[in-house]
Amino acid sequence: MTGAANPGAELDEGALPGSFEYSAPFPDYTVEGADTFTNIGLIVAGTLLALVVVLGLGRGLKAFSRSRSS
Amino acid sequence: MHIPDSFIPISQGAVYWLIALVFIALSLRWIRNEMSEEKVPLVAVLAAGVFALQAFNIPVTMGTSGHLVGGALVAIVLGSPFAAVFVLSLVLIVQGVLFGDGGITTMGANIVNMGVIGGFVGYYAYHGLLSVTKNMFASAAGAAWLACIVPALAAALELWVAGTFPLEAGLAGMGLYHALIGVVEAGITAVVLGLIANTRPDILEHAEGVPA
Repeated sequence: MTGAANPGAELDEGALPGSFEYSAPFPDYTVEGADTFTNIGLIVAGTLLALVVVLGLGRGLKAFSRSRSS
Repeated sequence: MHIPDSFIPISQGAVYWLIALVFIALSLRWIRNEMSEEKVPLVAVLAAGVFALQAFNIPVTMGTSGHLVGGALVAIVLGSPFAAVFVLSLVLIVQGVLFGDGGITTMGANIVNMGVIGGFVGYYAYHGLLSVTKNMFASAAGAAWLACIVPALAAALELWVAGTFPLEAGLAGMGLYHALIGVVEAGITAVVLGLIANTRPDILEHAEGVPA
Protein backbone atom coordinates (compact mmCIF):
# COMPACT_ATOMS: atom_id res chain seq x y z
CA MET A 1 0.00 0.00 0.00
CA THR A 2 1.30 3.41 -0.75
CA GLY A 3 0.94 6.54 1.29
CA ALA A 4 -1.64 8.23 -0.84
CA ALA A 5 -4.83 6.40 -1.68
CA ASN A 6 -5.36 5.80 -5.37
CA PRO A 7 -8.41 7.15 -7.19
CA GLY A 8 -10.16 3.81 -6.74
CA ALA A 9 -10.15 4.08 -2.97
CA GLU A 10 -13.60 4.01 -1.47
CA LEU A 11 -12.64 5.17 2.00
CA ASP A 12 -14.12 8.35 3.42
CA GLU A 13 -11.15 9.37 5.53
CA GLY A 14 -13.21 11.80 7.56
CA ALA A 15 -15.32 8.93 8.82
CA LEU A 16 -12.58 7.54 11.07
CA PRO A 17 -12.13 8.88 14.60
CA GLY A 18 -9.01 10.93 15.29
CA SER A 19 -6.97 12.85 12.79
CA PHE A 20 -3.31 13.22 11.91
CA GLU A 21 -1.68 15.34 9.28
CA TYR A 22 1.75 14.59 7.89
CA SER A 23 3.11 15.24 4.44
CA ALA A 24 6.17 13.25 3.42
CA PRO A 25 8.70 15.27 1.39
CA PHE A 26 8.76 12.73 -1.47
CA PRO A 27 5.35 11.01 -1.55
CA ASP A 28 5.27 7.75 -3.51
CA TYR A 29 9.02 7.97 -4.22
CA THR A 30 8.56 10.92 -6.53
CA VAL A 31 9.39 14.59 -6.77
CA GLU A 32 6.48 16.55 -8.17
CA GLY A 33 7.12 17.45 -11.79
CA ALA A 34 10.41 15.59 -11.96
CA ASP A 35 11.41 13.25 -14.78
CA THR A 36 11.81 9.48 -14.53
CA PHE A 37 15.56 9.60 -13.95
CA THR A 38 15.14 11.92 -10.98
CA ASN A 39 12.55 9.61 -9.45
CA ILE A 40 14.78 6.58 -9.99
CA GLY A 41 17.57 8.56 -8.35
CA LEU A 42 15.25 9.16 -5.40
CA ILE A 43 14.76 5.41 -4.93
CA VAL A 44 18.53 4.89 -5.16
CA ALA A 45 19.04 7.64 -2.56
CA GLY A 46 16.45 6.03 -0.29
CA THR A 47 18.14 2.66 -0.69
CA LEU A 48 21.49 4.17 0.30
CA LEU A 49 19.86 5.97 3.21
CA ALA A 50 18.40 2.70 4.48
CA LEU A 51 21.86 1.15 4.25
CA VAL A 52 23.51 4.02 6.13
CA VAL A 53 20.84 4.16 8.84
CA VAL A 54 21.00 0.43 9.55
CA LEU A 55 24.80 0.38 9.36
CA GLY A 56 25.08 3.34 11.73
CA LEU A 57 22.56 2.05 14.23
CA GLY A 58 23.99 -1.47 14.11
CA ARG A 59 27.53 -0.26 14.67
CA GLY A 60 26.34 2.10 17.40
CA LEU A 61 24.51 -0.66 19.23
CA LYS A 62 27.52 -2.98 19.06
CA ALA A 63 29.82 -0.18 20.31
CA PHE A 64 27.40 0.53 23.15
CA SER A 65 27.30 -3.15 23.99
CA ARG A 66 31.13 -3.32 24.01
CA SER A 67 31.47 -0.29 26.25
CA ARG A 68 28.96 -1.73 28.74
CA SER A 69 30.75 -5.06 28.93
CA SER A 70 34.25 -3.63 29.34
CA MET B 1 0.94 -3.57 2.13
CA HIS B 2 1.88 -0.27 3.76
CA ILE B 3 -1.21 1.03 5.56
CA PRO B 4 -1.49 4.83 5.18
CA ASP B 5 -2.52 7.26 7.90
CA SER B 6 -6.27 7.50 8.53
CA PHE B 7 -6.94 3.94 7.36
CA ILE B 8 -6.74 2.85 11.01
CA PRO B 9 -8.10 4.96 13.92
CA ILE B 10 -5.35 6.51 16.04
CA SER B 11 -6.44 4.56 19.14
CA GLN B 12 -6.00 1.24 17.31
CA GLY B 13 -2.80 2.50 15.72
CA ALA B 14 -1.44 3.13 19.22
CA VAL B 15 -2.06 -0.50 20.15
CA TYR B 16 -0.11 -1.70 17.11
CA TRP B 17 2.65 0.77 17.94
CA LEU B 18 2.89 -0.67 21.47
CA ILE B 19 3.17 -4.22 20.12
CA ALA B 20 5.75 -3.07 17.57
CA LEU B 21 7.82 -1.28 20.22
CA VAL B 22 8.01 -4.45 22.32
CA PHE B 23 9.38 -6.38 19.36
CA ILE B 24 11.70 -3.52 18.34
CA ALA B 25 13.14 -3.53 21.87
CA LEU B 26 13.65 -7.30 21.65
CA SER B 27 15.31 -6.91 18.26
CA LEU B 28 17.68 -4.27 19.64
CA ARG B 29 18.56 -6.65 22.45
CA TRP B 30 19.22 -9.37 19.85
CA ILE B 31 21.53 -7.01 17.94
CA ARG B 32 23.44 -6.09 21.10
CA ASN B 33 23.74 -9.53 22.63
CA GLU B 34 23.56 -12.17 19.92
CA MET B 35 24.56 -10.75 16.57
CA SER B 36 28.26 -10.64 15.79
CA GLU B 37 29.76 -7.30 14.81
CA GLU B 38 30.94 -8.75 11.49
CA LYS B 39 27.29 -9.19 10.48
CA VAL B 40 26.44 -5.47 10.76
CA PRO B 41 27.38 -4.66 7.12
CA LEU B 42 25.36 -7.66 5.93
CA VAL B 43 22.34 -6.44 7.92
CA ALA B 44 22.71 -3.02 6.28
CA VAL B 45 22.97 -4.51 2.79
CA LEU B 46 19.86 -6.61 3.42
CA ALA B 47 18.03 -3.47 4.60
CA ALA B 48 19.02 -1.67 1.39
CA GLY B 49 17.84 -4.66 -0.65
CA VAL B 50 14.50 -4.79 1.17
CA PHE B 51 14.02 -1.04 0.64
CA ALA B 52 14.69 -1.35 -3.08
CA LEU B 53 12.40 -4.38 -3.44
CA GLN B 54 9.55 -2.68 -1.58
CA ALA B 55 9.84 0.51 -3.63
CA PHE B 56 8.25 -1.28 -6.56
CA ASN B 57 4.54 -1.32 -5.84
CA ILE B 58 1.69 -2.58 -7.96
CA PRO B 59 -1.83 -1.23 -7.40
CA VAL B 60 -4.20 -3.54 -5.51
CA THR B 61 -7.85 -2.98 -4.65
CA MET B 62 -9.32 -0.28 -2.38
CA GLY B 63 -6.50 2.24 -2.48
CA THR B 64 -3.84 -0.22 -1.52
CA SER B 65 -0.90 -1.72 -3.35
CA GLY B 66 1.17 -4.88 -3.24
CA HIS B 67 4.91 -5.46 -3.15
CA LEU B 68 7.59 -7.87 -2.03
CA VAL B 69 8.26 -8.01 1.73
CA GLY B 70 11.71 -9.54 2.32
CA GLY B 71 11.16 -10.54 5.95
CA ALA B 72 11.76 -14.23 5.34
CA LEU B 73 15.01 -13.63 3.48
CA VAL B 74 16.41 -11.45 6.27
CA ALA B 75 15.32 -13.85 9.02
CA ILE B 76 16.72 -16.92 7.25
CA VAL B 77 20.05 -15.35 6.25
CA LEU B 78 20.68 -13.84 9.68
CA GLY B 79 19.26 -16.79 11.60
CA SER B 80 16.70 -14.94 13.71
CA PRO B 81 13.23 -13.46 13.25
CA PHE B 82 14.37 -10.48 15.32
CA ALA B 83 16.74 -9.57 12.51
CA ALA B 84 13.70 -9.11 10.28
CA VAL B 85 12.00 -6.98 12.93
CA PHE B 86 15.09 -4.73 13.16
CA VAL B 87 15.62 -4.39 9.42
CA LEU B 88 11.97 -3.99 8.43
CA SER B 89 11.33 -1.47 11.23
CA LEU B 90 14.11 0.82 10.07
CA VAL B 91 13.17 0.42 6.41
CA LEU B 92 9.53 1.23 7.20
CA ILE B 93 10.55 4.30 9.21
CA VAL B 94 12.57 5.65 6.27
CA GLN B 95 9.77 4.82 3.83
CA GLY B 96 7.06 6.38 5.99
CA VAL B 97 8.85 9.55 7.05
CA LEU B 98 10.55 10.46 3.77
CA PHE B 99 8.49 8.82 1.05
CA GLY B 100 4.98 8.67 2.45
CA ASP B 101 4.95 4.90 1.88
CA GLY B 102 2.85 3.93 4.88
CA GLY B 103 1.57 6.29 7.56
CA ILE B 104 3.09 7.52 10.81
CA THR B 105 0.18 6.56 13.07
CA THR B 106 -0.13 3.24 11.24
CA MET B 107 3.60 2.52 11.18
CA GLY B 108 3.21 0.27 14.22
CA ALA B 109 0.73 -1.87 12.31
CA ASN B 110 3.04 -1.98 9.30
CA ILE B 111 5.98 -3.02 11.49
CA VAL B 112 3.83 -5.71 13.15
CA ASN B 113 2.68 -7.00 9.75
CA MET B 114 5.88 -7.00 7.72
CA GLY B 115 8.57 -7.09 10.41
CA VAL B 116 7.06 -9.21 13.18
CA ILE B 117 4.58 -11.43 11.34
CA GLY B 118 6.67 -11.56 8.14
CA GLY B 119 9.87 -12.29 10.02
CA PHE B 120 8.47 -14.88 12.42
CA VAL B 121 6.35 -16.63 9.79
CA GLY B 122 9.32 -16.71 7.41
CA TYR B 123 11.78 -17.98 9.98
CA TYR B 124 9.63 -20.68 11.58
CA ALA B 125 8.02 -21.75 8.31
CA TYR B 126 11.52 -22.22 6.88
CA HIS B 127 12.55 -24.47 9.76
CA GLY B 128 9.26 -26.34 9.69
CA LEU B 129 9.44 -26.94 5.95
CA LEU B 130 13.12 -27.83 6.17
CA SER B 131 12.39 -30.60 8.63
CA VAL B 132 9.96 -32.06 6.08
CA THR B 133 11.60 -31.39 2.73
CA LYS B 134 15.30 -31.42 3.80
CA ASN B 135 15.80 -28.96 0.95
CA MET B 136 16.98 -25.43 1.72
CA PHE B 137 15.73 -23.83 -1.49
CA ALA B 138 12.25 -25.36 -1.45
CA SER B 139 11.90 -24.53 2.24
CA ALA B 140 13.06 -20.95 1.75
CA ALA B 141 10.73 -20.49 -1.21
CA GLY B 142 7.75 -21.86 0.71
CA ALA B 143 8.57 -19.77 3.75
CA ALA B 144 8.97 -16.62 1.66
CA TRP B 145 5.60 -17.21 -0.01
CA LEU B 146 3.93 -17.59 3.38
CA ALA B 147 5.80 -14.56 4.75
CA CYS B 148 4.38 -12.51 1.88
CA ILE B 149 0.76 -13.59 2.03
CA VAL B 150 0.26 -13.89 5.81
CA PRO B 151 1.22 -10.24 6.54
CA ALA B 152 -1.09 -9.17 3.70
CA LEU B 153 -3.97 -11.10 5.25
CA ALA B 154 -3.10 -9.60 8.64
CA ALA B 155 -3.27 -6.12 7.10
CA ALA B 156 -6.68 -6.93 5.63
CA LEU B 157 -7.84 -8.14 9.05
CA GLU B 158 -6.58 -4.97 10.73
CA LEU B 159 -8.37 -2.80 8.18
CA TRP B 160 -11.56 -4.75 8.85
CA VAL B 161 -11.17 -4.30 12.62
CA ALA B 162 -10.64 -0.60 11.95
CA GLY B 163 -13.91 -0.51 10.03
CA THR B 164 -12.14 0.63 6.90
CA PHE B 165 -12.80 -2.22 4.49
CA PRO B 166 -15.10 -5.25 4.50
CA LEU B 167 -13.37 -8.44 5.61
CA GLU B 168 -14.13 -10.66 2.63
CA ALA B 169 -13.16 -8.08 0.02
CA GLY B 170 -10.01 -7.20 1.93
CA LEU B 171 -8.91 -10.80 2.40
CA ALA B 172 -9.70 -11.64 -1.21
CA GLY B 173 -8.00 -8.57 -2.66
CA MET B 174 -4.89 -8.63 -0.51
CA GLY B 175 -4.70 -12.41 -0.44
CA LEU B 176 -5.03 -12.93 -4.18
CA TYR B 177 -2.48 -10.30 -5.19
CA HIS B 178 0.03 -11.28 -2.56
CA ALA B 179 -0.37 -14.95 -3.38
CA LEU B 180 0.90 -14.01 -6.84
CA ILE B 181 3.54 -11.55 -5.60
CA GLY B 182 4.60 -14.25 -3.13
CA VAL B 183 5.59 -16.50 -6.02
CA VAL B 184 8.08 -13.83 -7.13
CA GLU B 185 9.24 -13.38 -3.55
CA ALA B 186 9.70 -17.14 -3.21
CA GLY B 187 11.85 -17.22 -6.34
CA ILE B 188 13.96 -14.23 -5.31
CA THR B 189 14.49 -15.61 -1.81
CA ALA B 190 15.56 -19.04 -3.10
CA VAL B 191 17.88 -17.51 -5.72
CA VAL B 192 19.52 -15.10 -3.25
CA LEU B 193 20.01 -17.90 -0.73
CA GLY B 194 21.47 -20.09 -3.46
CA LEU B 195 23.90 -17.37 -4.52
CA ILE B 196 25.01 -16.76 -0.94
CA ALA B 197 25.36 -20.50 -0.28
CA ASN B 198 27.55 -20.87 -3.37
CA THR B 199 29.76 -17.84 -2.89
CA ARG B 200 29.81 -17.12 0.84
CA PRO B 201 28.47 -20.13 2.75
CA ASP B 202 30.06 -18.76 5.92
CA ILE B 203 27.40 -16.02 5.92
CA LEU B 204 24.75 -18.68 6.37
CA GLU B 205 26.37 -20.33 9.36
CA HIS B 206 23.23 -19.79 11.45
CA ALA B 207 20.84 -20.91 8.72
CA GLU B 208 20.07 -24.60 9.01
CA GLY B 209 19.89 -26.75 5.92
CA VAL B 210 22.69 -25.06 4.01
CA PRO B 211 24.58 -27.56 1.89
CA ALA B 212 28.15 -27.97 3.09
